[in-house]
Amino acid sequence: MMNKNIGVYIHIPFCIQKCNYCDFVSFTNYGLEDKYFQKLLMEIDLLEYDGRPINTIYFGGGTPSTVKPENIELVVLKLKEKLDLSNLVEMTIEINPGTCNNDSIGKYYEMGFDRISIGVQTFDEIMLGKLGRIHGEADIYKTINLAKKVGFKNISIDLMFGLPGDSLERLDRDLGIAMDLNLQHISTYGLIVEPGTKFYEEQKKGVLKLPEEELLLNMRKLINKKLSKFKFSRYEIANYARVGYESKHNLIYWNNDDYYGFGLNSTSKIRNLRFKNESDLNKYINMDNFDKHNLEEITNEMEIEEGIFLGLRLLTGIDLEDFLNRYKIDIKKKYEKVLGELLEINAIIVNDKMLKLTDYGMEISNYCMAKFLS
Amino acid sequence: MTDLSNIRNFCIIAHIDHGKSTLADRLIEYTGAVEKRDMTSQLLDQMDLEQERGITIKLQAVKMKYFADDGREYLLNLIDTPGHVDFTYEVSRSLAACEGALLVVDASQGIEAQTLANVYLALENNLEIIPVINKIDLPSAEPEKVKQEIEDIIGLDTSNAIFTSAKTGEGTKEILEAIVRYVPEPIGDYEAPLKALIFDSNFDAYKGALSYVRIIDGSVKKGMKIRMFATGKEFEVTEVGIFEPLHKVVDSLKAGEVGYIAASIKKVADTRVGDTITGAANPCIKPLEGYKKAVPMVYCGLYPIDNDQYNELKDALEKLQLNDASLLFEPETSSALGFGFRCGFLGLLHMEIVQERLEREYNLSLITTAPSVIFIVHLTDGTTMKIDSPAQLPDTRLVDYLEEPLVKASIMVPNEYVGTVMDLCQDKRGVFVNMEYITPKRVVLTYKLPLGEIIYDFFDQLKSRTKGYASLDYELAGHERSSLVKLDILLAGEIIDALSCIVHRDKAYHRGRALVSKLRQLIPRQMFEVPIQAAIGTKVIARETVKAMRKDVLEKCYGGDISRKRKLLEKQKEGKKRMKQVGRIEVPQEAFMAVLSLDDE
Repeated sequence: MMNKNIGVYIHIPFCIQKCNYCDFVSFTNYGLEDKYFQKLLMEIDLLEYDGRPINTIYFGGGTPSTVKPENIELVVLKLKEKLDLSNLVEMTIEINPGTCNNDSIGKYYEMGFDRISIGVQTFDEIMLGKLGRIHGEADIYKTINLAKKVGFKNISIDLMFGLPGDSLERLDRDLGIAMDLNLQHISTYGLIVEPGTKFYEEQKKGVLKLPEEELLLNMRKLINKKLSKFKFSRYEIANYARVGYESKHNLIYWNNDDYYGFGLNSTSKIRNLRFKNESDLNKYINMDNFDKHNLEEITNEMEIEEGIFLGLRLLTGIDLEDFLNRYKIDIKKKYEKVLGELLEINAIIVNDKMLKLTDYGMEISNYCMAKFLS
Repeated sequence: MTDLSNIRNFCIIAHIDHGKSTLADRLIEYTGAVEKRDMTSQLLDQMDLEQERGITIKLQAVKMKYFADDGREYLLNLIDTPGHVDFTYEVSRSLAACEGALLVVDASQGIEAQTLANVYLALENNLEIIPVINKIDLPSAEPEKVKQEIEDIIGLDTSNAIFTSAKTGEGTKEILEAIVRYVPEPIGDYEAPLKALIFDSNFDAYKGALSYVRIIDGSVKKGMKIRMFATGKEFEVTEVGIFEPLHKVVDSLKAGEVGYIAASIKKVADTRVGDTITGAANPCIKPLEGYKKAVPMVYCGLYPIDNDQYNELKDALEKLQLNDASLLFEPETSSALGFGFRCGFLGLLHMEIVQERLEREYNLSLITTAPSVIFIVHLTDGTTMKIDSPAQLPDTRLVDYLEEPLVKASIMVPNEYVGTVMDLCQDKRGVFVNMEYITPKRVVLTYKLPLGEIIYDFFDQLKSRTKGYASLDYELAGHERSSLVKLDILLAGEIIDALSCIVHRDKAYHRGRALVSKLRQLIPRQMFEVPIQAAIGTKVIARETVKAMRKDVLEKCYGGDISRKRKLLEKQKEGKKRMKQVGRIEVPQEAFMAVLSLDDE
């Protein structure tokens, strides 16, 4: 058995306001913040820790930068006290432009965060308004400059495309600006209209004008082309990084490794067990124990299938020998028929060493991945 | 020796949902034929499917002992009847086995076409009819009005009508008393040669095909040699018994009695409903009247989605046929669907039931092709042939003309819907025959309609256009020449034989367009573009395209998304399992039945 990496995810479910596309579990009631953190600390405390050293920590949300930095620090201290962080290689916090001042960004750096992920989404003032973001274009530059000033050398931004009324010109401008900012990592997401969001309601009413499939495909092509020109390599379906700056925490997910999730609605996967936390904020802050009642057992078969569909997300694909060593499965033998079908439509590349999706395969990855399920 | 004057053989006539099975349960419960604790609801409908759908598919019989107010003990044999037009013949045979019938009518719904048809069948068989007005506990019940309706429509004397609620049990005793009092005792000659009417058959894994019989004359017991009139086949009786309602072995069955005969008969086809059983050594001279061989009216193709299930499907059909002599099947090959079976059914309900049982009880995933009727093809060389599938239609150059089957349909409807029903019949190429006011507010419309139109959406349309108030009964009325054409469907340029249908020339364009548009909605996007065309001969009359799937990706996939992603992929995979691979194209099950659910004609 290879040694797995282990990550820790901390969920901070507070946001100043809900964005029009967002269906994440988040709340605007900061009155519950302190209670929430008390419970979060308790949850970490009660973990039955097996002593395996932790490799990455990730604070996500919600908007972690909208809560008091002191609360973040309490969690960091708790993690240091409870877990073996001697092998820690990455510690990320998500922030949103316009939500943190000089002071707090500096504090994150001092606490030990070495990577910052900024929810930019777009540099287009009008589009930011349409998305229901609370920041403007100038806030973004301010935040990025601040982060650099306090010492962050690993900065990632999120960009969205396929937005209402979107165009290649808008995307091209966004990418151009991003390239001028001297960043290390960019995540790019096509808009998905999820039930329960404001966009969903608008779509039902027929007033949301979204780009056609053709344009979305061209947008992805533009992203690939432009970013590679500036030495950002695509390493996952939606993620691009300069050499060595791939998100180590997120690679844990895609490598099907283990992770502890703490906080509302977070997911843990430890060996063959998966667990999703309570998603109701009021219930969470009133919990008196963190016994895991709804554990999902990941069967051997599930583990293999997830190993495949997560591995296929990566540009490096699946290393066939590693896969054989870890899962005792010869992919080429077991999935001979599936591989044949996918080869025929040019969705995969397979040789003696590895199996991976082509650019086209990435665009239809659901179709490809579903074929590996039993 | 049983005294015939103590026996009463009766059945229950009722429309679907008018409460027949519940009423039967009350009678059984009251007479204690089954311990109350053993009662499942709706005892007579034993199959899951029967209980779920509230219909009777397979006949049952039950013997009850009843101590009447006159101080005597009576044996009451209840013979159950199916309540659907597909099974009219079975109904007529079970009626022939009885002397009396309970006519159960819902106190708020009134008489329906199906009930009326069965009442006439009962009257033809000289049955004493006892009107029972059920569901009087409902707030909308109008028992007096319904009673009057029975008198007006059927001309029955309703002075002995009984008001009941099978739900609460009210009126149960009155029914039992009425059966004893009004249903005549059976007459029969013990000494005459054996003459027994088969009103149903059932397959028992240990005893073989059982004949459910009413003994008309003579008697039968173990060891006796019997002969089937229809087939001439002879068997040795291994067991005779009665229904309590579970089988109970008895020494003999005698004239007037109802029971079963086991004789190591291998197939139910050898004990055909309506046939007469007699003694091999001392046969009666003439069989009972009214025997007909069940003839399927509707045909469709059944194919396993997974070709590997072909043999399982064959086994399952054989097993179902053991118990259902009216189910016909023979192997068929489709270029689109591979190996399957062409199956014949009594009607659409029969077809649905068989299909559902195959999927449920035998765990098969099936493609059912659109149902077809039997066409008579007149060829240019003067010969004729019968076809039950569009695929069997010879090259058009060889065909002179086609004949299609017609039915005489009686539609009973409140007078305010007469116009809309006439429109519908017109639309379905119906020819008006008659219109009769059976009461000031209810009308029976009689039309000659092509059976091919009935088996499409006629019944659904009738129900929806009349808010469910219309009821329908029909009987076959021969074949007639008609201007019919074969409509082909092409996917990606290839004719898909399983999607072809034979339609009237005047409707071909409309149906072609509607079908193509429906298929475009049903066929999911593939990895390549799929043109869908409708054609008559080489002429394309409609075309649409299913665009290629070019983007199907979930860009965000982190720790918390993995379970969700997995479910999404599983759903996608599951969806594919219900698809049939036709060439390179994945076609969903429903597409093959699409022609049945075309909207707005």
